[in-house]
Amino acid sequence: MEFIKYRLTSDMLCMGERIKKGTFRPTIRTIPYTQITGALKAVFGDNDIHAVGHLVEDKKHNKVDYLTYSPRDRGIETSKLPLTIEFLTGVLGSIYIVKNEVTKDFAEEFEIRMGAMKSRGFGLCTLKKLTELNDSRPERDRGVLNTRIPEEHLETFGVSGVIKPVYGFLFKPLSDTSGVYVRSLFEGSEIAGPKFLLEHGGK
Amino acid sequence: MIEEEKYEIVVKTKEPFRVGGTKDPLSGAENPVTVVGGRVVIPGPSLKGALRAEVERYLVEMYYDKANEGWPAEKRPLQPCIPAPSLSPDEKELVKKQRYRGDACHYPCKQKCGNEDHMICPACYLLGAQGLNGFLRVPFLYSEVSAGELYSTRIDRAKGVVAESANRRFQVVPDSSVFKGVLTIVKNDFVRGLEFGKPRVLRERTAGDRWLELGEWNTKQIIDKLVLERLKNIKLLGGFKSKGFGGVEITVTRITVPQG
Repeated sequence: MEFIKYRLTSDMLCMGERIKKGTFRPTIRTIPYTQITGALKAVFGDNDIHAVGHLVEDKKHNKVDYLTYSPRDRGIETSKLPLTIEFLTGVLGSIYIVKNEVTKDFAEEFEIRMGAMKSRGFGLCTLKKLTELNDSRPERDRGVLNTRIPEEHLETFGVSGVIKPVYGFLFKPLSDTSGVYVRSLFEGSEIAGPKFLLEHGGK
Repeated sequence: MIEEEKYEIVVKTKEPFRVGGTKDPLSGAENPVTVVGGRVVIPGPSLKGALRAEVERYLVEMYYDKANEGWPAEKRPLQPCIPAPSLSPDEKELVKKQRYRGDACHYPCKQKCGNEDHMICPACYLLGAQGLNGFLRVPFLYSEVSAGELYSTRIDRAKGVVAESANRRFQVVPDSSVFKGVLTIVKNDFVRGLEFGKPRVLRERTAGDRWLELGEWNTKQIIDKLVLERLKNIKLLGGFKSKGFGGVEITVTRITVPQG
């Protein structure tokens, strides 16, 4: 099992969902399988692409910020109900793409669009290739998961055991306009697997 | 791969300017301007909203039949929608007068649409509708300028002096400030089978991009008339417009990538 590691940078990123009728849209602090894989498939096609990611842990990057905006009333030219979104600025993350016939030829550097509000200036990400990883024995450990992976893809990333699960649901698109939610392991789960999936590298 | 066309947008403020931001307890500013990563910005949603308003206005002015006070039936696909789940009484009045379409553009049509399949209006084609992405990606516009501070107050009508507790400090950006960003137009998305200026092939229930089937619009016209001219036509942005704020001048320049 081999992976290609990319560095992800972005000015502004907002990932996550707004609760129906809610006026606040929070952002999540990791890069789930569905977000990064979907963004890659949008560029390279609906091929055999599988990827996960996480944000780096340092004080200089991934700062949380807020933006309030509002739709306008066309009749009287005033703002309607204000909506607030939470987003990350100065984003720096690591992406791990499963190496296969499709992904081995990915460019050293390319751009993708990921997350919410893409038509409003959010979500432009640059991926720069760093290294290739062999998922060999010494690089495996037990620890806390740093990303979100659907259960059906745990094996794809070499997760060999789930010790303490934290479950949630990720959206799996079935077409451009429909999809289903699939049970997934969320960050905070305790697992046995490759070190790059673990907080602090499994330490 | 995705083929894109990029344009640099430069906004120069002609008057004092502010787009209100979120209150930051650390800065102490009561009504701050929007700051992202330490830089004053015009947020993407503000610019996108202003552009959408300009596109809507242009379509209404171009196609609405003032003499007969209605939208000509043959031009119905060009009628803009109001992209909101519920309309205010004033917006309902605009719909009643046929300035706007009654239903927000959406995809796909569902049970509540009954037997009528809805079209996607030109503004939503460009900027996105519920359930369907558009072709434009409007940027945040960044500036190197620093915000100054003013305060507003209210006069006690009886005493003729400043009312108690009425001083409100607010941040403002001076005139001649420059904001820059890059607008992206998706020209071709081979993976999803999208081509800018052509009706999209949509598999689920919808009347789709009917306005492009009228034969009046080609790609160049759409970019020139509905995007570039509309952007340049934005003369006011941000808040406090009634107080002498918000005058802007916008220039748009195509970014050409050197060959080879």
